[in-house]
Amino acid sequence: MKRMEMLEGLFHSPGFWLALFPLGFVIGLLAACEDAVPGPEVAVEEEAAAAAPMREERIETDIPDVELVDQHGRTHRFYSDLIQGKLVLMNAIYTSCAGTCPMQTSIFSSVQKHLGDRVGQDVQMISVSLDPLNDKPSRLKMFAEKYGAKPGWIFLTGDKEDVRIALEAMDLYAPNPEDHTPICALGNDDTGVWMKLINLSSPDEIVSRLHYVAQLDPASFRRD
Amino acid sequence: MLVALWILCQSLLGVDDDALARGRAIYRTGEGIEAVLPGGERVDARQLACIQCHRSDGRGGWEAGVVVPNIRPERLGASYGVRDGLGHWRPRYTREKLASAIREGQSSAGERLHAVMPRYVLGGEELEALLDYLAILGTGPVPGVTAETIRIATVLPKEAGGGSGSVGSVLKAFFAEINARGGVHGRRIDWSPLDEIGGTDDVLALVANGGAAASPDRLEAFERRDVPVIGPLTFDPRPRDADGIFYVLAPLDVQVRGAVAAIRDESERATLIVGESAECERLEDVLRREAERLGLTLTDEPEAGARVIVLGDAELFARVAEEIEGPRFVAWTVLLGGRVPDPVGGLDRVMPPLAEGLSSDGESVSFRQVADRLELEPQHRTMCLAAYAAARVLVAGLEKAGRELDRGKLVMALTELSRLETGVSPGLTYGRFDRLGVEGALIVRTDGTGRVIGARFREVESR
Repeated sequence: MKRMEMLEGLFHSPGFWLALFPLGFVIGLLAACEDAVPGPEVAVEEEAAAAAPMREERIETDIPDVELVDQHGRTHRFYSDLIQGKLVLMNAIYTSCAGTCPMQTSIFSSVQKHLGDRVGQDVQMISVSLDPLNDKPSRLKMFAEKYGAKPGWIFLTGDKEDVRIALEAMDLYAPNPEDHTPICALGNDDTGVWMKLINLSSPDEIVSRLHYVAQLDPASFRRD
Repeated sequence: MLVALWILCQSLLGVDDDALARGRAIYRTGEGIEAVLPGGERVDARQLACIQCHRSDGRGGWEAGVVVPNIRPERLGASYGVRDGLGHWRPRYTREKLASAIREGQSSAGERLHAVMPRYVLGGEELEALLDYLAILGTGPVPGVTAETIRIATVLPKEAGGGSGSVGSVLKAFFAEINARGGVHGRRIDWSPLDEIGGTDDVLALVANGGAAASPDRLEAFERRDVPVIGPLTFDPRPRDADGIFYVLAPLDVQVRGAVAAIRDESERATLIVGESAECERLEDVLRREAERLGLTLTDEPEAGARVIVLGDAELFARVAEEIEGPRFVAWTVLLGGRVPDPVGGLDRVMPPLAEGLSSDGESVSFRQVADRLELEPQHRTMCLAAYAAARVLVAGLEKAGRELDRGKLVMALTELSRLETGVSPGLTYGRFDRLGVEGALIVRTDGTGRVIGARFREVESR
C-alpha cells in the first residue's frame, strides 16, 4: 500500500514523529567550550539536561523515495530500498566535520556492535552526508571503514537536491553542513512511529530507544 | 638563530624527541590508546583522534554546533585563565588539570566537559608524551615563512636534471610568474630545488618531489618531520587520511578502474591480456573485481568487435598491437616497464588524468603561459603537467590559508579545496580524510593513423 502511494506521489503515507528531547536541550546547544570563538549564544548544562523529564510530541512526516548513492557507488531508493518494513536508525554527518560527526559516528559504530546480526536484517542504519558535493562515495567509503561500518550500515550521498529532500523529511537537514545538529532519527516503518534523539547519547541509550520505538503502539497516541 | 634557541629551550626543558614524536602520533592518529564514549564504552581512539576536532594547529574552531576550544599552550596556560565562548571564566590549565581533562573529562574550572569531547584511556608514559606535545603545539618558529617570503622547495633527482630539468624549469617559471603578479598575500614565493631531503626544515612545504623523494619511505620521513608535500610525482600514491601528503595523480588501480568503466560505457564484453609481473597480477585483480561490479564480461580470447584490454609493459603492448587487428583496444602501458610506444592507430590509451584543457585555467598562471617560454622534453610532459598542477594546488592552499600562515594552516586549507580547476586536470578535491585529488583515468583516443582525436576523463565513483 505504501509502495503504491510512493509510486504515485513519491511519498509514502504519513507516519508520525515522536520527538524525545530532554527539556532544555535545544538543537545545537553545545559545548562547555573554552574559547572565545564566535558561536551559538546558548549553553547546555549537561547534567541538568540529562536529568530533565522527557517530552513526547508527535510530528507528522512523509518519507520521500529519492535515489541516493551509497559508499560503494550503488544507487538506492531512500524509502523503498532502505526504510520500508524496517527499524531504522539514521543520522546526518559529513566527512570533513570537525565538530560532532566523529563522536556521532563512533557512537553509531558502537550501536552497530550492540545490535549485532540484526543490523542488515530487520535494522537498517543510515548515515546521510550533509555535504554531497564533496562527499563522493569513495570518501564516504574511507569514512565508513574508519568507523568499522559493516553491511547494514549504509552511508549515502547523491544529488544535492535529493539529499536535501531526504534529510528535510527526516528533520535532519542543515543548508550549511557546519550548522548541523547532533540528532539521530529512530523509526519503525511498520508502525510509522519515529523518534529523534540526541546522537551524543550513550550507545546503550540509543539501543534501548530503538527497542522502545520497535514495540510502541501508535494507537496509544492521539494525533494533534 | 631562532631554531637554535628553540632546540636549546627544548633540551633545557628535558623534553626528548621520542616523547614528542609519540605525543604527536597520539594527537594526530589516536593510535595505541582508547577513547571513552558517553555511557562509558571504550573504543579505539583512532576514531576520535584529537586532531579531528582541534585541528593540526590546535586552534579548534566552530563546526556542527560545537565550539571546539583552542588548546594551544598560550591559551590553555594563560596565567589568569580565559573566558570561554559562553562567557564562563575558567582558570589556567596546569599539567595536572590538563591530564584530568584528557582522562576524566573535567575542565580546569572543575566542570564536566561536553560529551563530544571523549575521555581517553592512556598509560602514564603516553599521557606524559601527549602533554609534552600539547605544551609545544603550534609554538616555535614557523618554518619557511617570513614577513616577505614563503620558502617552498622541490626535491628533484639529479638524473632528471635537478632544478634545471623540465620539471624544475616549469616550477621555476610558474612561481616567477606568481611573484610577478604580487605573490600570495603580499609574500613572494621563494622556490628552490633540492637534490636531497636534508635542508627541508626551513621550508613551509615541498611541492612536486620527484624520484626517490616521492617514494613511500621518503614521504613518510617528510610526514614525521611535519613537512607537507603537495603533488609528489608518483604513479603509486598511497594516501592516508589526515597526513600532510596531497596527491594530484590517481593511483594505478584507480586508472585501471577508469579504463574498465570507460570500456563498460561502450561494451558489455572485453578481452583481457595481462603481462607477467607481480604488479600486473595485482592490477588484474583490481580490474577483474571492477569488471564484475560493473557487469563487464572478460574473455581470454579476442572476439570480433570486442574491446581488448592490455595490462602490461610496452613490449606486450606492441606485440598485441601487431597481432590483433580490428577491434579497438585499451592498453595500460606507462608504468609497467619500457617506454610508451608512439601512438598506434585506432587505439585508446589509458593515462593519468593530466592534459591541457581538462578544466578551466581560472585566473591563475596557465600551463601554456609557463610552457611556451620553455623547451620541455616531450618525454617529461606528463611530469611537467603534474608538477604544474601540484604548484597550482599549493598556491590555492596558500591563498586559502591566509596571511597568518604555518604548516598546519596550509594543510587545513588544502583539505578544504573543492573542485580546484588547474587547467590541466579535472577539478581537484581534498578533504579531511581524502588526500587523492582526483579519481579516474584519461582515455586518449587515436584515429587510424595514430593521431590523437580526442581525450576524455572517466571518473570512478567508488573505491
